[in-house]
Amino acid sequence: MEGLLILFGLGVLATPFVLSVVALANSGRIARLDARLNELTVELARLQQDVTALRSDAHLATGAALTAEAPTPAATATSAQMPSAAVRVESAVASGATAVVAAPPSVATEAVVEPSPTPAAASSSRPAPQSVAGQEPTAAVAAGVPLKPRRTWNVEEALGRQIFLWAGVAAVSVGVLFLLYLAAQEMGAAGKVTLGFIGAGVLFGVGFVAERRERYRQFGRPLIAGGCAIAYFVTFAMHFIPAARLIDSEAFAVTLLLAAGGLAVALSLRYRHEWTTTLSFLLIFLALGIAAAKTDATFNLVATTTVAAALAFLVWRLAWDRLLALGVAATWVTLGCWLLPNTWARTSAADRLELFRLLLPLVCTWLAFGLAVVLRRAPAPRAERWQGLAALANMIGGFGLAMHLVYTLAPPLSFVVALAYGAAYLGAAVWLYRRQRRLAYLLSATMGLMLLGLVSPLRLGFGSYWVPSLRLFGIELLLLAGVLLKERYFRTLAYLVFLATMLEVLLVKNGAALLSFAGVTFHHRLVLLAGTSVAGFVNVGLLRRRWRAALCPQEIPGVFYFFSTTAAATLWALVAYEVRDLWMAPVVAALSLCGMLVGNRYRLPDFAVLGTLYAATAVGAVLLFDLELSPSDGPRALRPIIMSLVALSLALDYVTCRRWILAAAASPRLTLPRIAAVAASGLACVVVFVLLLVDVPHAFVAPAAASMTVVLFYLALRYDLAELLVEGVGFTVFAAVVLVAEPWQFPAHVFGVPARLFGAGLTLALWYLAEQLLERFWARALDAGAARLVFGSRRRFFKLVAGYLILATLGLVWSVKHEAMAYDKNLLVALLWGVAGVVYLEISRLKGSPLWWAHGHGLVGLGALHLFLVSFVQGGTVGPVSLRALTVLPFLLVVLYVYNTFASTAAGLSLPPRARGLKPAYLYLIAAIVAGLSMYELMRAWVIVAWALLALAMLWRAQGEMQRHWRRCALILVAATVVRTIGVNLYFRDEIGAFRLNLATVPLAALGMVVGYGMLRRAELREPRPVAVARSIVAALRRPVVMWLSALVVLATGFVVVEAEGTILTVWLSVEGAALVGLGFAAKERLSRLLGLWMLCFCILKLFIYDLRDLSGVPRIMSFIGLGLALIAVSFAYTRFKERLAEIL
Amino acid sequence: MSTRLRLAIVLALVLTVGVVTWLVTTQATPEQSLSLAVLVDTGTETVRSLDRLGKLATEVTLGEEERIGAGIAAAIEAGGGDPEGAAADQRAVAAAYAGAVVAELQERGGPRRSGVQYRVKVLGTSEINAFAVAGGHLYITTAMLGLIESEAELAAVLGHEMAHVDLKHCIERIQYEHAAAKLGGEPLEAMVGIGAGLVSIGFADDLEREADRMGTIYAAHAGYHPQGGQLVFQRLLRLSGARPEARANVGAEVRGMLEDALEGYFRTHPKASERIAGYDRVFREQGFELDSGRYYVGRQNYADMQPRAARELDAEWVTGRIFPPRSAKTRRLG
Repeated sequence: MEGLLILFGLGVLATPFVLSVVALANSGRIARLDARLNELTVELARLQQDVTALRSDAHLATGAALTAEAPTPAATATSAQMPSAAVRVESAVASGATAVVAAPPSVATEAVVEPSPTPAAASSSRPAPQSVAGQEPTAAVAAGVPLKPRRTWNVEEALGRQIFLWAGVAAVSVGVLFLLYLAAQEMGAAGKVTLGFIGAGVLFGVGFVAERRERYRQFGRPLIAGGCAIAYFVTFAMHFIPAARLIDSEAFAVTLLLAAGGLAVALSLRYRHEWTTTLSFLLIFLALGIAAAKTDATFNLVATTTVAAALAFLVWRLAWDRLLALGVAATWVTLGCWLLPNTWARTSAADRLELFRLLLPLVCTWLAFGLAVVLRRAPAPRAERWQGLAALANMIGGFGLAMHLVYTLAPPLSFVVALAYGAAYLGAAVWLYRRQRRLAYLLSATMGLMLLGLVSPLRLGFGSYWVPSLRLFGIELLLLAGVLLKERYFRTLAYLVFLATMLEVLLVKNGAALLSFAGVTFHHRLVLLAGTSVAGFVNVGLLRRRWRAALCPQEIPGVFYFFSTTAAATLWALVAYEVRDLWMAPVVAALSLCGMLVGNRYRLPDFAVLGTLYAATAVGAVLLFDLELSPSDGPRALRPIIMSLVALSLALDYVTCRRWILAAAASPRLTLPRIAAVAASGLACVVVFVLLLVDVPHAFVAPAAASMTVVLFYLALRYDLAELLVEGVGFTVFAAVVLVAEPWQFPAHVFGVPARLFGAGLTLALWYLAEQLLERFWARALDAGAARLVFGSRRRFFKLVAGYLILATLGLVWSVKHEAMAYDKNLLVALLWGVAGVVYLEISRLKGSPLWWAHGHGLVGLGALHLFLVSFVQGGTVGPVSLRALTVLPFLLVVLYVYNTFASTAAGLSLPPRARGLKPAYLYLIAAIVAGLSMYELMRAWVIVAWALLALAMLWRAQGEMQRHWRRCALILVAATVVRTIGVNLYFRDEIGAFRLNLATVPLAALGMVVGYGMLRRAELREPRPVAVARSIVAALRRPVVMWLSALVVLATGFVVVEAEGTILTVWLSVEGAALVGLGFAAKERLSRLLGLWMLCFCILKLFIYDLRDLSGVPRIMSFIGLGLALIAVSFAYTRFKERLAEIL
Repeated sequence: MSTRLRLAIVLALVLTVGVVTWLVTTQATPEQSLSLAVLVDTGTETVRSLDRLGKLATEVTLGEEERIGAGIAAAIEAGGGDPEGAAADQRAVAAAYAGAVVAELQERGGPRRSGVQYRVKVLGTSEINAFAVAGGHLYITTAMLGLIESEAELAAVLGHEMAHVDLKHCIERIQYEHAAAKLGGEPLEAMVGIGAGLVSIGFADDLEREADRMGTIYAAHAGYHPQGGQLVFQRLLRLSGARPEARANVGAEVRGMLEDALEGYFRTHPKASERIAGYDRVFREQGFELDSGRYYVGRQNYADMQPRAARELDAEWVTGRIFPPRSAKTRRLG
């Protein structure tokens, strides 16, 4: 059997050979036909040119006739009285005369003598733009520029000409490697090396010959590349592989390797192709990497420096920035590979001579690359990025290695070296700034500033608390430089360093003693915190007044907020340290009020935001300190008073900064202060929330919150403070939550009345009062300015009123759920919610209320969620019927009813367009319910069949406006079928008795997919639509047919791979590939044919590489070389006879 | 659609729901609570399908599996047993008896893989456990032997462990690490081990259910009573004394749902109650006639440690169930 399979594989493999031989035998006839075809093509092109020229002449004549009627051009004014035919001929002569400049004479002659058959009247009736457009081809022909057809990526071409060729070269190379390996056991070192070089020479020779001919150029270049690779490898083997060792000297061997790399570079320069040269350079760096482990320091450093200099020179001459970037990185990695292992563990200091000897090449390399970057002219923006990368790599590598070396061998000198590098970078920055090399300039400046900035901590010691203060001084200088130079980058740097300094002061300084500042005196703390704070406030003042003109417009508000916030944060840290108890909240609240007052007095919006941040801190302090008090604590009695004070202070905050709410209408930039003002009132409410929760008896909490709602609604109504409505609603929600939580947490009775009844009754009464207030507010809500700011539109206000229906619906939802849980009938919840949803929808239709409509759909959706969370996974039966089916099927009826009556229910309601798009969701829900039910009701192996059938049914049902969604739904089901097949059927491989269920279920599912594919493809062929050419996989996958086909292929392949093994697997995969090719022909689907071809290719490769892996020695070598040659031959045949093969494919 | 027709349909829907509600409320129903099982099942299937592809790519041969398994088995046996456990000679007798049962299962139960050599060893520990190692090494503890009361139960337990080997669960658990060790040595093996463990733990309990299923099929095909496994797990359930926690409110229910989902993911074995229910599904699917079928139980064989193959007793052939059908219960909130 296996022998037959090998014969089959060889037969398949030999087919391209036979085809090639037959084709070559007919090459004479083909050559004649080709020549004739070329003649015809030339003739056709000439005729096309003639036709185009004549058309343009006709248009020009028409244009002349038109201009003759128009009085503007003076040149045509003389011919205005001539008959139209004469005008046409003369203008044709004129245009012919202009065309003579570049076009062949015959064109001009014919254009002159042949009269245009188009009547002048008909020509003149054409619109002007058409006649102008008609001149374009003439211009192209006249200029002698051939019109190139747009080149598109062709899979067959890529497969036949490129992939097969590269795969063939790879297979031959592997075969040669095996041959070398075999030879290594039989042959001497010289023989092996000679054999290798002969192989490389042959590849070079064939490659160069092929490259000279236009037709085989693409064929020749990979061969040259293969020759290079083999030559490099053999050179490597001459020293580093013992079996082929001819050279003993390591330095000489590495030099030879470098020479081989250099040869590759030199060869690559013939093509002037940057990436080719870059890859060749990587060969050199590979050699240097090998040398790093083998040779001595001097050789390495000198060789690397030389290569770096050569690279820099090349880059300077050819302006190849990508080569520079990758070369710089490779150089420093190579140097690092040698330097780091040799110096890392070194403990003894070096003498100055040794240090100089090691440091000099590094500095030279750094300087060479730096100059290559610096001395370049201002490049294009894209190239500048690569230069920036090169500069960055040079900075990291050059400076990093130098510093490592100095710090390891002579630590005292590191300060000087860092200063020198910093100064050099600053100098380079100045140079680059003058030449407007922005990216490189910014990098250099940053590096210089960082180095110089890091030097001071080195000298002072990182632990010194003077460092942040000193840095503050530096930041001010940097800020000043940014302002004077109008360089935003420096300013941004100053902001960032200021932020880092502030964080250091607050978090890092003094380590674990965060905010407690243990061991730090008050004096130090004052210097650190107050200094930072004062610097921040000074900066915000200066930037606001004196330096404002130097800032960018979009920078201004951010800078103010930044400095004022950071300054306030450090000031808060000072206060937080000094006052850390019950009184912290009122103190911070007072600070907040101060901020608000200052902001209000001097119209500083950022201070309003600051005040709100302080207010938030005050609330945090309430939660942190005040709530911790136990009944035994003395100050506990003060808590309600303190919290009331805080709430009052925050309410005053809100009153103070309320101006920003009104001002926000005029300026969108004041949105943040406006939010801050609203937040201030919200924070006050939070304190009241907390007060109610901790200091009011539980049964009274909900009524108290409801009464707050009434009070806030009244204030909003009386004083036109519309944003208080939001807080009022907040208290409503709060009361609702308290009521919902009541049965489990609160005492059973209050004054002899059940607590739930008492609280709920009082709360509902207060809500009714609030609703009445809202009704009164409704009439004037949108007339008031503040109300418009808060609500923006009538719809938003409507939402607030709708909140009460939401409460009712939530009450219903909650009651059903709660009672069902109490009686352990959770299964019924989804059904009851679903039916309630249907009733809501019918009420919405009768009342014409979109609100009821939305709630109805919400209830159905909630029911569906509950269904998936509870009903599907429940076991048990009621009589012969499972509980699952008994509850899921009625819900399915509900969903089907809602789906079918969707349009009529929504008719006449003013709904947003998005709401009308809800209908497809029900379709997906129906599919999910049916799929889920079958998943849990059927035996698991059969589920995929059910899903495939369901997908087919949906595909069959797909029509009308919902067709797209039905198809998409079917597609999702098919995808789920594939996943389930792999994850369940092919994982567990169920069987009943001796029968393997997969043998029935998977083919059935696949059959369903084939039928679905056929239906889709038939529909596509019947109603052809303009489908964009698939330029990518994503674009191809947009076609449902392709998705179905992919699912089918995955399913079938998975099945075959799991159920078969070894050579049988290859056979089945070949059968599948052939079936796909057949299906592709039957359905006229190119993708299917291609997939089949790929699969057949894979089978051939598998046969040779995997199935015949037990072969060894000469047969294995022959199989690889044979396979490679076959692939190369196919590629050759495709290159030679590509037109004919394209017809076959 | 006219308004009357619509109202009639809505009324019919309400009536249907009413009837269903009545039907459900008059019947005793099992415990119902929120569960993310649908979501977890779907996610697990997706992960499993990807895992299947990975497992196919890193498949090992039987010879290699035996080599790996031998290494693991040597390490386990080097650890020794509990000194308070049964004496070595008793364990040897028990191991020989269990080996005979396994041979019976292998011969008549119809495992999928041929060529696997099963070896049974008895560990003298007080932990109730049985486990399998790649290559066919099956281990059962003396405590587990103490829990078992018949040869049918032993066949169910050993069939379960055999199924782990037969379905390649044991080797697949370490397959990725093995491939990683080949590629990148120990560090890569450790990293891959952690990653694969986290992923595969999501469906480890599925593998246990599958082993239950296949073990029952082997036992039933070999003539043993299929309910042996149910009896063992019923006893384990009694020993553990686990009771489902009542979920009093929606918060607790949602919390329980999330905890169950999380616990379900990280649980390597399903709950004993779920496994007992899982057996019922296997009986239904495979068409075992529990009420009318005739199966071997082998209590006396187990007591004498003499396998059925050596001494088949007519009295041990039983018609009907040996484990009663489960009844649903109702819970009410107090």
